[in-house]
Amino acid sequence: MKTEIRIPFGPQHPDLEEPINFMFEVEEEYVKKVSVRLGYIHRGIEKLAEERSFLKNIYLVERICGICSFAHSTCYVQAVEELLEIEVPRRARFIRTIIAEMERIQNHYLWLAFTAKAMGFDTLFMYSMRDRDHILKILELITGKRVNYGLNTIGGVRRDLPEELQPEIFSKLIYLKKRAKKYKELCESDPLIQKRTKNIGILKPKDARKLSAVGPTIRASGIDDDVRSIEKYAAYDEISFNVITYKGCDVFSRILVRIDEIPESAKIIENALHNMPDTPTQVKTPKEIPKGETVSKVEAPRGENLHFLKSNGTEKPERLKIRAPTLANLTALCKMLEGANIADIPVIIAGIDPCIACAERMIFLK
Amino acid sequence: MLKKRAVPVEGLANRINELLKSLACQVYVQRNRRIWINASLKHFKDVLSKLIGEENFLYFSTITAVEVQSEYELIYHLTFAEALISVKVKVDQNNAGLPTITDLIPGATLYEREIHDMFGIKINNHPDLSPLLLPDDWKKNVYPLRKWWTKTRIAKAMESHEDRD
Amino acid sequence: MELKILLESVIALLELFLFPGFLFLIFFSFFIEWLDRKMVAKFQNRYGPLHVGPKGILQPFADILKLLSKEDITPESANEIPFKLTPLLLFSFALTPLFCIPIISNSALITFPTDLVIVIFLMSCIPVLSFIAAWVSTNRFSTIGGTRLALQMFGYEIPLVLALVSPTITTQTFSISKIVEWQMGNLWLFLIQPIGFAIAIICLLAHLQRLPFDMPEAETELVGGWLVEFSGKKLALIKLTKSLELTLAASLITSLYLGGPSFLVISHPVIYFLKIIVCVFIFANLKALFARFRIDQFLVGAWKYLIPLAILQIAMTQILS
Repeated sequence: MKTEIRIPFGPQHPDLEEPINFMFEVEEEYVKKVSVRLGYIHRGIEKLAEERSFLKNIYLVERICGICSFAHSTCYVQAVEELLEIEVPRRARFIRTIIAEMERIQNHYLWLAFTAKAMGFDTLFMYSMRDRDHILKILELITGKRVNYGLNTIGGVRRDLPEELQPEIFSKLIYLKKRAKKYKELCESDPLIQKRTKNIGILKPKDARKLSAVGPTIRASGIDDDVRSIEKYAAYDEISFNVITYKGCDVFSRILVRIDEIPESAKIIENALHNMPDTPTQVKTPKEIPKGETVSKVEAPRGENLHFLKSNGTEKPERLKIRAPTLANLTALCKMLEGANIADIPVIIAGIDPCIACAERMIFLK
Repeated sequence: MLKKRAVPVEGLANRINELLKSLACQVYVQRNRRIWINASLKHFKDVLSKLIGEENFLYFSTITAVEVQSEYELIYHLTFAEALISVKVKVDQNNAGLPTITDLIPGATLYEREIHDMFGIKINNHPDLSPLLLPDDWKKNVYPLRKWWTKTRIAKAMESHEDRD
Repeated sequence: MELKILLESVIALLELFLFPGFLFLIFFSFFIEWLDRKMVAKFQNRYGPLHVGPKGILQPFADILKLLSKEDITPESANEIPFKLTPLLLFSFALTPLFCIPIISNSALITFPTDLVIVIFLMSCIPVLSFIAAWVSTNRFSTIGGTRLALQMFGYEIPLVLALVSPTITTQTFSISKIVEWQMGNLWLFLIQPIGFAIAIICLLAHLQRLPFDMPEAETELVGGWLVEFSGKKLALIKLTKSLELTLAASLITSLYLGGPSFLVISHPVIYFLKIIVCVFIFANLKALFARFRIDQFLVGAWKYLIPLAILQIAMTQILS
């Protein structure tokens, strides 16, 4: 006798850092259907943005998500600068690139820790978090905070990167590159990790395109979409790097893509530090932004981040629309979950690096 | 591998102009990598399907809804290898509804649900328009992102039916 | 004459309740749990319990005390009498076999010619009771946890019994104390039956529901598994059962394969403690090294590898003896 059980996953669940509700219809340990419901940490950011000046909105946009906050603020600030039609000084662009890459490293270590926990691998979780602390220390030395840096401003960056910090940054980057190499060897040689992640959560390239997945999720299916190499914002037109892709289409490939992106980011940072130009870090900008609308894109650690900004000539924006990467990956996630074993659900969900805080920004005002 | 995507945006704009000649829409280039197309409600779905069939179409990014005086402007953002193309469609406030594009792009379901929740724009033939972001006890016809619904008005609307369960 | 009987009965009661009886065993299991947590923490590059007592040694005791003071909720749809009874039964089923393990000398508090069989029986009842506990909780997650537990039993029960019984073929006795005595005169059994030793460790890990086999309690998937609805005193009893089971598993390995409290010609509890520490070290190592198996992968592995190896061990023992 087949009985279908409906299992709610979330909103409160030990595996999820943020509340999201999946309703699984399960039959004999396999998922038949999944429907998703968001809205649990809706904070009304898009409506709030219409009531604040362009400068104050930077601090609002930064707090969309604690871990990809710099990506959001960079995206927003680029949109405003495009409306103003100003050229940001080269040094500011290089600093933005450096901090963005550091955020990417920090995010990938955190993600590795949570995926290991989802697999039951507590030791790897502890080691990853210990290594992540090193990059957070550097970020604290440069910006004064471990998350939500407050570094971007319209027209450049607020703080400079002093020369004295460079030796420490280089030594920590060498350590982090070594650790990433060790974790890659671990994942490739450990039979248990491979049993839990190979051929789990398959997303074929054609499905990935149709369901508009972004970020490392789609790069693990062999498609080399990377906003940094397509749009070439900030300093990416002057610094060359490799886009990492793997052809496995499963969670194991996603792990490898993210672990490989860590030394790549470290290389970009070292490159940028060696070639740092000597220009001011900021230009003055007027308070009122001319009329117009722009779309700005940035490669957040989780995928493509898109901001649409419309201004009506006053101090406050007319409309700010934010499309975060996790929202784009949700439909692909639902496809991956169909037909999966219950025991694999946390691993598959962790595989797309969910950041629900980014995915919901709209209103719930009371 | 860094693929050289060096085709300038004018080339793409000209190709698009040729492609969409019969569909009565304007194409203009804002800057490098940004193309905007104004389409009419009647033709916009044909415009989208032609663009999706074009080579170098990468993926569909999102749907933006903007309130412009008494109309809604919907912008469909498509990412191509050479540029980001944004297709604008104007829809009346009390309109009959928009056709869904989920038959062309399955990945657009969540975006259409979002604009339906937030702006109240009717989407016809959508497979599942259940609320995505709003909670279960949200009052009907309260669309948070419309300009008319300010914070105080929404708070009042929520309170006024408080005794009803 | 009567005075002698009275004295003997008083001493027997003291032994039963204090050393090496109830009180000693419970505090000993706290010590073992602290040791296990500290070792796993060191492997994971962190401190483990630190503040409660010197080096955190009172942490397990503090955990139990805290649980005893918390609110004890019984869900409305749960079957009341089994729900309240199972934690008590679990606790007693875990504590009783420990009386049959020789700790002070070569003979345990309770010995009789077939005490190994009774110990294995009581041990095997524990997962069955856990399954009943999961079933009467009437919670989605505990039902899945309970079914996983039952499925897991299908995998490890046979090789566990085979591995625990193969020492008896060599030593020709079913009594744990006699097996320990036999090892005092001859080699320790893990040298003679290494395959059985390995299989016993793996199957005991599955029996204890520890990583890498903790599917029934997988906290990231099932919010706590079969014990999710228990709280307060019942949860305290269940946690105590887990510590006692760990001690029981380590003691079984020590007595059956490592020679119990004996070393060459002497028999002393300190030797027993040292061997227990070695066993806990092995368990902690295995916990820190591995990720979690999936239930179907575990079953396939158990039937493909563990059972044939256990049968091979028995066959080898028969041939060699």
